Amino acid sequence: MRILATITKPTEGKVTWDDTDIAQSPDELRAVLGYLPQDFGIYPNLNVVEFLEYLAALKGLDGRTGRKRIQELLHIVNLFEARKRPLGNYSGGMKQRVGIAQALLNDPQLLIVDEPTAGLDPAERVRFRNLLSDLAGERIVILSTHIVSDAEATATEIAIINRGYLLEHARPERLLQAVDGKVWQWVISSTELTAAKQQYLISSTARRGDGVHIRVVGETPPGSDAQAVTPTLEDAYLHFISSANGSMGPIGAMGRENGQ
Amino acid sequence: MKTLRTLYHLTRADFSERVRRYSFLIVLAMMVCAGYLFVPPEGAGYLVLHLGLKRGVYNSPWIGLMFGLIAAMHLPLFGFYLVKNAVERDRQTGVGQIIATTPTGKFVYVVGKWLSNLAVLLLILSVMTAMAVVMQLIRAEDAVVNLWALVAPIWLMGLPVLAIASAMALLFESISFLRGGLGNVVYFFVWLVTIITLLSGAFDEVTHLAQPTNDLLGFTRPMADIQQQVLAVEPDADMGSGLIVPLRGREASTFVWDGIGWTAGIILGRVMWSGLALAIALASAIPFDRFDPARSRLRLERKGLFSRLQKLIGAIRRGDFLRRRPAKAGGLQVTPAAHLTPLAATSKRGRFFGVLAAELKLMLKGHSLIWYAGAIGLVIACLLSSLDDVQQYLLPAVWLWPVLIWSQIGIRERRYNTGQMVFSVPHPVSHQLPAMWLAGVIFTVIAGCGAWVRLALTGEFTGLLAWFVGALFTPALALALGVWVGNSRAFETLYPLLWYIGVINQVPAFDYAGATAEGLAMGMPVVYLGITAGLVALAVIGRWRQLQI
Repeated sequence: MRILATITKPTEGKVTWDDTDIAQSPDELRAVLGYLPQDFGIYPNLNVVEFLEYLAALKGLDGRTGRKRIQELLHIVNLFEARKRPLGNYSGGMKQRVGIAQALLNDPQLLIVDEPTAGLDPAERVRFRNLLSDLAGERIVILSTHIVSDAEATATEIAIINRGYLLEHARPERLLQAVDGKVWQWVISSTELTAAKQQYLISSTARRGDGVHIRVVGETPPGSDAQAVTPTLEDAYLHFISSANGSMGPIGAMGRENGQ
Repeated sequence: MKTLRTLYHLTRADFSERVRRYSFLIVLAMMVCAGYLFVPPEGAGYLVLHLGLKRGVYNSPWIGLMFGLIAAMHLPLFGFYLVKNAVERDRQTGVGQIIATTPTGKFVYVVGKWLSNLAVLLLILSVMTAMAVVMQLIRAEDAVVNLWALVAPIWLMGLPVLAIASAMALLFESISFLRGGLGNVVYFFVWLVTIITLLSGAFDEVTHLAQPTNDLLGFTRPMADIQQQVLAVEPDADMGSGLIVPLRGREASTFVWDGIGWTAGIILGRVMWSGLALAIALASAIPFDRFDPARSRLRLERKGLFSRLQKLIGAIRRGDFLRRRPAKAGGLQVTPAAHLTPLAATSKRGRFFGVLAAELKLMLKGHSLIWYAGAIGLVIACLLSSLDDVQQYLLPAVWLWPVLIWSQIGIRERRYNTGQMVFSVPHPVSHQLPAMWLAGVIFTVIAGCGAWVRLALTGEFTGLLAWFVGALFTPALALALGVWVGNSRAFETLYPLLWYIGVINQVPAFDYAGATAEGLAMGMPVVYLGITAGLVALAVIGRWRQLQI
């Protein structure tokens, strides 16, 4: 994401924007780029309007356009009421919304958002997903997330990356087709759960009155009474990642480096 | 036992974290270079320790004393800035909040940090000691290394003072208003006043003879012994002594000094000073906030008194107090789907003056009313005072008052972690970096307008031009240090030193602001203009390096 956002230079390979190598001429892309880093800070003594005015100036917006844009964005990210408070007093979710607002300041043609919904409450998350979907009609939006429901709600194309390598790049429908007939719903007793976790790739568990309902991703049914169910993107994600790791083993073996 | 174990791990973790940084290796490398320069060869043009332009033969006691003096006088200044981040690091990384939830008490925590500070400085002292041995062998004026005579003065003089500097660093980190740049500047003056007071109190004004006492630096006993030895051979010898003096063509002679016996009484006296260090370290637990974010938030709110007052007046006007309070931002609300109005195309070439105005605004935000009052007071005082008073008393204040604002130039992106946002905008090197420097220059010109208007009205045009060179140079120095070092401490340490030598003591070579007639005659403004260009170029290279493009 940092390479795409012109923060880091690639050690090998090339990224082009309108046939221009962004490592050679980064300003071509920066002029139309909106970037929300995964980890970013703010200036604690400024309020949100002053902070956005500062970044609007850096992005080349004139004063009048910038002020108008900031007012609009403050309503969109729901910070208008808090616009005069110093940013140092903002909660984590509010800071995240400031980050979203700054990424949208210059009406970017390429919007890169790295884990944008981290720290947002459910209402804000839904709101931001809708915003991204709306924006994606007119521009390219690249979203990185570990929250599969975010990708389900917004993505028209999904790239699955495992330890820095691209595993799959396809439309969500194709990813789901790839795992069709490989997801099973199985009811077991709670005493069997530990053994099942070690043996199968389980995407979810739910304790019910008749036992533990587990969702297993695998080529064959885990038991004779297991039912084939409609796959979700989460199932597809686990399928591709575990296939890449050489087994359909338990989730715990995948580690934290996996990304979607 | 459990407390000791906690203390050990607190110290070890903090010490390991610091010494594994690349920057610490640079500090050690600098100490090796400095150690080489501390023992100049014949014909080097300067003496490090002398008595009426006589120096001791480079034997173990003399080299030990030289290194001991440097360790006791200068290392506490630079060492303080090096270690004054033990608590800050825990605050920034969030580790502090984890520690705050453990049973570790405030006193154990501060003692652990003090020991860690001290361990870092003692590692530097160890490198200095090793260099002292090496230098005696390199200079080879006395081939016999007497280890005790060489090590004793370095450690007995250096250790207690470094223990106090370590404790002071902790105390300054614990007191909220001394935690930042103000504390860095305040410490510089604490150090300066302490050294001046100790030196002036140690020697008789007429005879220049040292009075042997258990002084803080531990230098009066060996100095008195040296003076006695020299007087025994040459009764009318000059007793004036100094540390690091240029010879400027004068002849230096040598004598043999065999050192003093570092008796149990002397050692006990030095240990007593270390007790003071422990007391300061323990006292720092009292103001320490134990990473309570509510306390720092309270300060931020107090700082924003003016904006809160405005908000209150606005609310009264709107009659908000008569109505229900509006829903808080961030609460669950049903809101329509958001849409973004398309913008007219933004300038691809960027708007330099917009960036400049934004940088200037950012520079002026978030300072206390006292700072603004002081700045305005200086402008008025300069306009109303005579030229002599301006040059003698007010100009030095004008060149020091904004130090904490200059020190923020070039470091904000790293300090507040906004680099990824700021560096992904167009022209971060060709627009934002020069805008940051120019904003600093404009700010300096505004803050110092009383002084330069006074110079202009009196027709002091050479001084006026030199003043403007200072206004270009100072933000450039801050920018270059900020971009390369990444924190404000480097500028907050070096600049007051430069100010003290150049503006207060009026040493022409360091006169960056046209404060001396000699400096002007030597063409120092032209030299500093060249240095300014070099510093800006250095900052540009540094920013390119940060961008990795």
